Amino acid sequence: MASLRKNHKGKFHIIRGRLADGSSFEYAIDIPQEPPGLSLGDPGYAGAKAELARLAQEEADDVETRSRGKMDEKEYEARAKFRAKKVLRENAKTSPPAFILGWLWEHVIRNRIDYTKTLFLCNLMNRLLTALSKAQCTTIHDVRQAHFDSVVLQMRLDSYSPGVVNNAIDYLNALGREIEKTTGNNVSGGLAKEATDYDERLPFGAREIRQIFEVIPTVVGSLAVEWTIFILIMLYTEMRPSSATIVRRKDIRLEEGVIRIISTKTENFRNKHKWKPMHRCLLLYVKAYLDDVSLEPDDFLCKHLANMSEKSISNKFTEVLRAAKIDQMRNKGENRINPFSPKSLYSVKHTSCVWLDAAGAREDEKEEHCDSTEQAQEHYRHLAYEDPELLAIRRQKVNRMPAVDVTYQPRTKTSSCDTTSNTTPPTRISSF
Amino acid sequence: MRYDVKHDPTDENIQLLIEAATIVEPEWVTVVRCAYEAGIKTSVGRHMGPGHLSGNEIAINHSLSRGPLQRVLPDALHNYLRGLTEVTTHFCPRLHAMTTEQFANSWRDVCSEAGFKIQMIVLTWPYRNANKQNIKWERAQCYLENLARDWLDESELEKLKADAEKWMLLGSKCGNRRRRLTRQQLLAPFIPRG
Repeated sequence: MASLRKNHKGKFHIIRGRLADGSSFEYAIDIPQEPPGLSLGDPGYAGAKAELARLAQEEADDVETRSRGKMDEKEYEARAKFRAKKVLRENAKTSPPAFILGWLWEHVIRNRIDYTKTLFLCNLMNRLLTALSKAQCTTIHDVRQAHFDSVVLQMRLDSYSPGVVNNAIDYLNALGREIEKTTGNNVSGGLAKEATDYDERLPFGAREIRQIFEVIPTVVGSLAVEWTIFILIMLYTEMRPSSATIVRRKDIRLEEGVIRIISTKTENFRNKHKWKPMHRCLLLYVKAYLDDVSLEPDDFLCKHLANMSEKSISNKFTEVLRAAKIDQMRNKGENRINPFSPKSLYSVKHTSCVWLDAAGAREDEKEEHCDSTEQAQEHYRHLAYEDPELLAIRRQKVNRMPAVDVTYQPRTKTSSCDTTSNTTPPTRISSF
Repeated sequence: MRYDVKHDPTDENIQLLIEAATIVEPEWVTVVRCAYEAGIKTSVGRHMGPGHLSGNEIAINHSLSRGPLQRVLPDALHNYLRGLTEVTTHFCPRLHAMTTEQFANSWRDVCSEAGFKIQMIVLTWPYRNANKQNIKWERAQCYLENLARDWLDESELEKLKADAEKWMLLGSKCGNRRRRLTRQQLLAPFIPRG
């Protein structure tokens, strides 16, 4: 039976035992006897020392077992590698705040994380550090799975939505991997994501979209043209509200009938220009608008909306929905702190995605590239507007989406939808 | 809160406002310059004083952050603020002491003297539009520093800040291809400007 030999003067453990042929072995291995960075009396010292002895004993046992043919070379190497990861590194005495904040700063700075996400991360790390401080963890070596679990449990008890908690778990897993590299402790192994509610956001029906365009002139008054353009852009380009408000004149090419897709959410790392053919309804409306109003290349298409806060745009849209008698189905999800509405301004973007899918514009792309990753598919999306034939094909696909015929009226009058008589609805949605 | 654009401020507008302010209430010059050149809202700028200045940076109390944001001032504005004489606790003691109504009325007086109407918030838009990314990054840094100040001592914070400078020069830590920076972004710190 393999064992450890006492080594009072040396720095490393000495293992000894007997091989299959009867010969004995005895040599020093690279596992230290004293935990690096910790001294006698430090919290966690005894545990760390025992852990090192256990790892040394495990290596001695493995040497013996391998020589007797009970363990193949591959398995021996894999176990040795795994063990090497668990041996304490030099910076094991680092305090949890220093280690965790170092990780956080590096992550935020090197990945250029957006400030909203940075705030979320800071709050999350603050929760974790508070938990570690309560548990009196003085070195990173004292951090355990239970501490990570307690943070996630507390978030769930505080009724954070599943999506938020799952997001937090992603970050805690990343931090946990770093801690494991340093200390060998698997601290995030117990974290599990929960199922999210896929009905949090619902699309508008075609009839509801028609109702929205009908009431816009009465609800928003002089801003009717801007609101119509804003909603048409979201509806036919899949842009988010924050992106659709800041479309500028230079983002529209009337000659080719294309629009530049902006993504405020991903602009830090996806800043390539993407042009997309405009749906005929959007194109007609924008063309009429630009014939009437002359704009400089840097001017916003929706000048007023671009300078309104998202909150005020969203509140105004709630008024529109109320006037259009569309039930927002505001409810309180069981895991939510605040009630939410599945039908809100963002649902227009959601509707656009659903319409585009229904029009079959995306299926071909998936089939064409089979099981390619999303990154790989990116390589196939080139600027099509330079090639008229390709552009025509893409336009055909986009035009398969339902049409909302809204007629532009000069700004001197109140812009309204196409009304021919009182009996016919002012906006029409034709079928596919 | 909805802001209707009445005017996009131009250099000419600002010049007229400054001239009008010199007649109506000279302290408005400081507030208008802070708003136009450094994007500091007038409601914040009127309460600022020399205590907020450190080096060429000014601390702005942001309503959505726990701690102040640090904003680098343009040289001209920095020199102007440094050159203000008879300043004790605030750059604009009279405007600082005004109620909101008095402040708004005073602005109306400045506008009528200048001969046009412009909303106070609009003064900050040129800076906001030109420095969108910087403003976001300022806030991210503010959150990081506030958290670090709560948990670390001075020496640890200094070490972290020294490391941060190195990290600023590096690209994405993970292999996320979408988040990788372009060659141009990575080389930017090493290419001399001008």
